[in-house]
Amino acid sequence: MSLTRSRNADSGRAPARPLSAESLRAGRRSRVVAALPAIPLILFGIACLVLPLLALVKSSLELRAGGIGFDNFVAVLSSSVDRQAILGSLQFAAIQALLCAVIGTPLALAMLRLGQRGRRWWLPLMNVASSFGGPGLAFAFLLLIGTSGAITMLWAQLFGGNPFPSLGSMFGLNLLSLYIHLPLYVILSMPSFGMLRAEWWEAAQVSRSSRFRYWRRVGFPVIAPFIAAHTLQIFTWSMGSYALPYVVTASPQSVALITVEIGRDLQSAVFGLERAATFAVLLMVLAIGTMWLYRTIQKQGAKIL
Amino acid sequence: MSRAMTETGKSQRILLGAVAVFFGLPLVVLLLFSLADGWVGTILPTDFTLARWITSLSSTEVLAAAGRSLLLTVCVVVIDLVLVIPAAYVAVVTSPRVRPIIHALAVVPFALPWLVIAAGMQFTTAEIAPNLFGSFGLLTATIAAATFPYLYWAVENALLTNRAKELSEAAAVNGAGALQTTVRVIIPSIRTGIMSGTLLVAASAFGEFAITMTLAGAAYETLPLWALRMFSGRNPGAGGELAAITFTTFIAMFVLSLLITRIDTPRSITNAAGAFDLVPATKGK
Repeated sequence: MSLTRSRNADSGRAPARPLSAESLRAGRRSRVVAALPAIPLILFGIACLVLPLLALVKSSLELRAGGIGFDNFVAVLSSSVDRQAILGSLQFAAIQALLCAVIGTPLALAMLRLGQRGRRWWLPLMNVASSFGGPGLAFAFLLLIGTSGAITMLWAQLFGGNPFPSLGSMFGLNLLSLYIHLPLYVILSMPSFGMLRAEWWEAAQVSRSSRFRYWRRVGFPVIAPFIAAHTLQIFTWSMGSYALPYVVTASPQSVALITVEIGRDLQSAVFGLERAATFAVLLMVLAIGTMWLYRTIQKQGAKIL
Repeated sequence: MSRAMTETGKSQRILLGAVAVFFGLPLVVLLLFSLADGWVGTILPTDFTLARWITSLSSTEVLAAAGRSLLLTVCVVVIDLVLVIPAAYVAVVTSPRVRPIIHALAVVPFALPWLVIAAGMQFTTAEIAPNLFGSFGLLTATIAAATFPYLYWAVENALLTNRAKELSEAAAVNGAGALQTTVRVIIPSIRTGIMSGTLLVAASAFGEFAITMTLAGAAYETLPLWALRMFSGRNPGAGGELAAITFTTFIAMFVLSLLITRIDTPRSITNAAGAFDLVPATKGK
């Protein structure tokens, strides 16, 4: 998307008039005037998006005893509780990304083949599910696989016992989060998977290639960079997901996650908030790193096409 | 496309079916629970009642929370529209140099968790203006900043695909003033972009959790925060009401989303061009 976007607008206008110092100055002034309507948005973005991030970095580097240093990061990384939250988030995000890639890739391909009519229903469903979540969704899953949920009861009658771990466990959290991240993965993937041309498959059939061979030699190599990029994106979003984890990981036996720790610290505000700031900066660094990797992989993918 | 590419195979139909069950079951169970008259220890409810629907849809708490969510959504949408449309126009038509700056800003809410943005806002206000914390203005501004890229991408895309630059140059040649050009040519030509972007902003503002929880909390109980209180609280009937409201929200958002996909088919270039008779009425790409 972003690749095609920037192509046609940046061809600056060449002035046809002869240049004088005065017309140059007037030109510059008119350029500034022309840019004026964009200034409010830029200032607003700086105030509400850039400043807050700088404030976080500052707080994470400020020491309680005064001065500046990396002591807060050292403290977080050497505390076993905090390390557990970091590991929990990384593990959750990795599983989530992997599940999305494994289930979402064939799902996106299947939806591409549905044609306009089928997609007209599936796409809105994916849209809504991707921005759903929170307490309502958690409650629905509680009604399904909670201790007295419908599926749990059915299972108990058929096979006996309760096979489902709690929603706050690594299993529960991953199952719940798929409801949001799987649609996001599909929505991200469909445009790039749509670049697989029907003619390639036809050509493969004409040359008597099997379906497996087609996918191994043509289909997969083309979409592989996009699969990698979107899996990475889901990883980043999972690291930062908050609403669902906050709702289901309230009990102490639940998985510990960075975002939930940040949220609890911010709400309690009893202790110093440098731990929350440090965690937030760690998430920022990770997001910047994966964003860079995402762009790099996506450029690779665009080169193939 | 050949038949082999367009036809769904058997394994794909199984996959789609399984996914439909995964996404449908939670909705079914929410509907069942909202209609159940006590559902304990059985696979399916035995008695049904409309009581939860009546109490939840007429409860002042729910209505107040929904009202707050709606007010927040409207304010966020207005802020985004006022800030984004002129900026996108400038970025595409008059001074492309601001584009990289806006693009860089638009990446922030896409790459960073909104919780981090909210946390940053909390730290910033603590330092600069502590009395702003917990205010409606701060909450609205932060959500507007987090959601602006949805509208910006939609509008910028619409401006580019509808060749807004050529359109406004042609309008100027024909003697139209800046205001006339904006109101009669540009805005109509990007109407669908504005609408789909607005709906995206509205949907995410209405269901916003992380920023609202951090910056407002109990001080401004929106519908998602009400749902959280119902979920964690143990008062009787809360589950049924939560189920009813969640189900309703999902269906409402689904209808909204259907609308987005319907209006997203761009047809607008012919309409806009026709208004000024600038170019022969050709179909958009």
